[in-house]
Amino acid sequence: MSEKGIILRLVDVTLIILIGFVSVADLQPKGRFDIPPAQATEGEVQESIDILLIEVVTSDAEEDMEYILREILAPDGSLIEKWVVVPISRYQLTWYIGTQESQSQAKDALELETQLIDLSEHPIKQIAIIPSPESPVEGTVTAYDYCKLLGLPEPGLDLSYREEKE
Amino acid sequence: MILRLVDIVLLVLFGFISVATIEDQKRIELADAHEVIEQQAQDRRMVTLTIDAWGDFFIEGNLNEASLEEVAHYLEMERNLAGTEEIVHVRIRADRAAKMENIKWIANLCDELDIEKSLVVKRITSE
Repeated sequence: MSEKGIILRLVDVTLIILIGFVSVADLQPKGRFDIPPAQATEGEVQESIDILLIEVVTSDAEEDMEYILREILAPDGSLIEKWVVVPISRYQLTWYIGTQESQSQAKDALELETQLIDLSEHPIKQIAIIPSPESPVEGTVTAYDYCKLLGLPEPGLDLSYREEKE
Repeated sequence: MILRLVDIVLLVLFGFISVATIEDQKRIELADAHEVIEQQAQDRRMVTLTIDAWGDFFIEGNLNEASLEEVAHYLEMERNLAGTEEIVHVRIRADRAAKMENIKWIANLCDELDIEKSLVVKRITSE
């Protein structure tokens, strides 16, 4: 085989390896949220300014639980299916216009979006999301995402850790 | 001739790989979001922590779960290795079903150690 032929074969091999890697790559659009420093909201609410508090809450009631089947890797490398019980995120909205406090509740993400759209008719100066420790990550991400999607002020996240505060 | 054989071996190998089910190291489902920062954090010492649906921690894609003490020790070690010049950034790959309690714990630890943190989400492309 001539030298030119060998180079062509090597190019071939390189392309095969490249295509192999591309085919096994896990190509998924991903992004990230930069999490701001944790801020406790307790005692910091000033009634003279507009603030919207979005509490992500859960309950222990059976009807407020979601059962998700997940596949996990067993130590021997085999896949096993396991159920995970996840509380469904509910949203408790509290907002202040001057000293006047108003509240509403949203039972799911769709209702939250609707209520945020309604509230966004007023200028909102500050938003804080307060996730309960038991709430799933998805609930907080959804609330944060809707705020940004609707062009509302960047929400603060109350990530204060209960055990450390006491 | 040898190169031809190498070709065939590679083709067969990648054929098998492409039809095989390639499992993620930890099968987690990321939360979905529209509004995300797409650019990578540059010039950072990156650390990846995975939290599965049951609240177990995994350091840098390791298959063995890590205790809270091990996670704390690892982040502290990374902080020390980075020194004062370099910024450490923790990518939190949390399952959408993981409890916020875990995120809060990590976030507070990162704040204590002066470490940046971000939550990895799956971007929804809105048409």
